[in-house]
Amino acid sequence: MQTSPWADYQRLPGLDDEGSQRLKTLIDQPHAPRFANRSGHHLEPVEVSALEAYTREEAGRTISAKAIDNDWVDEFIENCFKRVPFFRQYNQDCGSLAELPTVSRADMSRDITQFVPEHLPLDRLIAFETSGTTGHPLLVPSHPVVAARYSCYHKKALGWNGVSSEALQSELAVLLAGYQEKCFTYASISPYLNNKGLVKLNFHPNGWNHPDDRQKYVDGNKPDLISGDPISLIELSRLPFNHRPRAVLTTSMTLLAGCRRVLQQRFECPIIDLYSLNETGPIGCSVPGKNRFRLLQSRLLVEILDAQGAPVEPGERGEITVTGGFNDYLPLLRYRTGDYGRLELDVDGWFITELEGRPPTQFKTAAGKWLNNVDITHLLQRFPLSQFSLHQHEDGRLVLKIPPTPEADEISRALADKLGFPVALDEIEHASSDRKMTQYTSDLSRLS
Amino acid sequence: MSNTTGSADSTMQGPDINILHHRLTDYPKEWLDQKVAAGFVAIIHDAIFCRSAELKASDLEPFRRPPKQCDWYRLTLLIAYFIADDSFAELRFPAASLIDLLTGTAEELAAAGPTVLYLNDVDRREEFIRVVLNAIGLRPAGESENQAQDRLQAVSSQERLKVLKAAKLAEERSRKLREALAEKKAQESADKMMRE
Repeated sequence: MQTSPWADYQRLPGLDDEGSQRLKTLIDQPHAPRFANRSGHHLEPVEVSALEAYTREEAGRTISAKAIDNDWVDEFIENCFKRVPFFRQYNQDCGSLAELPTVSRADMSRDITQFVPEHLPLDRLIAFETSGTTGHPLLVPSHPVVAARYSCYHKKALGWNGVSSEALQSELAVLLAGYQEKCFTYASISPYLNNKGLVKLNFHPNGWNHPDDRQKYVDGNKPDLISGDPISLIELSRLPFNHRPRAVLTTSMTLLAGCRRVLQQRFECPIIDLYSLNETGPIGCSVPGKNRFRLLQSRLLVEILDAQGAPVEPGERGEITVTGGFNDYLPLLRYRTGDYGRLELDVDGWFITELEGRPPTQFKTAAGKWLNNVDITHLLQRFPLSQFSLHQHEDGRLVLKIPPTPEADEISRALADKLGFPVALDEIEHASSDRKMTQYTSDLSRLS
Repeated sequence: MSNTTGSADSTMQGPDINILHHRLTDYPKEWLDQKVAAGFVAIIHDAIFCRSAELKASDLEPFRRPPKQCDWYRLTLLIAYFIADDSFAELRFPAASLIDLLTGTAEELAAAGPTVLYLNDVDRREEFIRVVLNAIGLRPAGESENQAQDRLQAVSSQERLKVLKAAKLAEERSRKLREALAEKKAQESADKMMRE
């Protein structure tokens, strides 16, 4: 017979009576959803202590995108050459990081096992699947300790947005919101969040006994933090609950200002946008008053490269490429993320600005001028779109795909005015977090 | 007359070993430069094309990676030069066998020593010749099957034997890792505060 989730010492080592009772309460209540799955932190007590030390140490480190400030890089490269099969085949006479070849998602997709250091044990391996929009699906190898390290960077992001993770009061620390027809859902307890609850829920009505249970569960359990992608959060924002979380964490390549405004008005708390990839973990986060991502990891060196793979000057646009990372099972050596942006330094630190999740796409205006997709993103900023895509046909006509919104006509007029071509609207009937779409495509672009 | 071979299980008579020694000592010095020769893919194409009628453009993908990522390309180049010798002119091989030779065997030889060693050290040169011939189902002219196998064993360096052993272990780990990932994919993973 399967043990009840609140007595699951295998997934939740070190679970005490208080935690067990807390978990039981989250699961066994009248308005709870049907939790379809099980999950846990899988951390041994000694690993929890190590995580605390890791978090303290990381909080005290400076973050720089200058190679010279990252003295850990040489040793990191040496270890990659020694222990990682893929990197062992490199010409190891390369003098510096800038001379090393870059690695793409396609390289990893061919055989991810070649990127896992040989000395690491496999008995507690876990995998995160990522489909992306590039056509190169990946199974990212990881470990419970690595998964738990995310908390270190999320806490840092919260702190930079004025939310102390020490001050979380509720029995439910985090609610991960999904909105899919089918979705992995579970309830758990987090030793790195004061032993408070963590639930992953699907706000699609399918996952609940009654649709109204969704708002009742939120109001009844008052999560301190809510996380999710913009699609899930917009769906969640439509539910009539009264609870206000302390912060909302989201991951989106392009959280439009209009969408952020809607979330902020609804939830009345900081909306923290994280630039995060399965391959790297959180790279940067939004901070108040700045429309860009502040770099989060002290052991992840970010470079911006041009099309030939050469580093560009700070402030110039190019492909975001990273070295290092906190996933011991996937050390990254000049990994080209496929995302584009600029690096900028100001008094608060290093930032990535104008982040776009794909190579640049150009759109042609009726007057024959070329506009970059960044210009289109600027234009769309004021609209509350959780998801969109724009395609330009060979004859210049445009097709805009967006979820139903009363501002649809205004959006299409704004685009038509800017580009001078007619814009056809294509409605996304069923929003779903599991359907990723490429935002910009063109039959005309000179770049895509 | 052309003969087709490609299997190491039963070998065919190949070129005279002395000719092959000379072929290696004549290796162009400029190809030993730090950078892999310009036109690398074209050289590989020609080397395969003149020994196999089945070559497809996509077969050349393994040779289009950045040379700095594949230091073993140096051995690929040496092998390509080696099999382009006129003494192989009458022989034909399955393209797959040549691709394996120019990738797997090249990697194995590269891990056991630098190119220059296989040119300057007479024992290692003989090892190179016998390993390459064996990989494409040949034995030196005038040698019986058994003689060729015995001599291959005799010249096999400790370095290469170590490489072969390590490669076997690596392959095994890679298989286990692949299986573990597939299994974990189907299962749950560990908690994270948010998902990408």
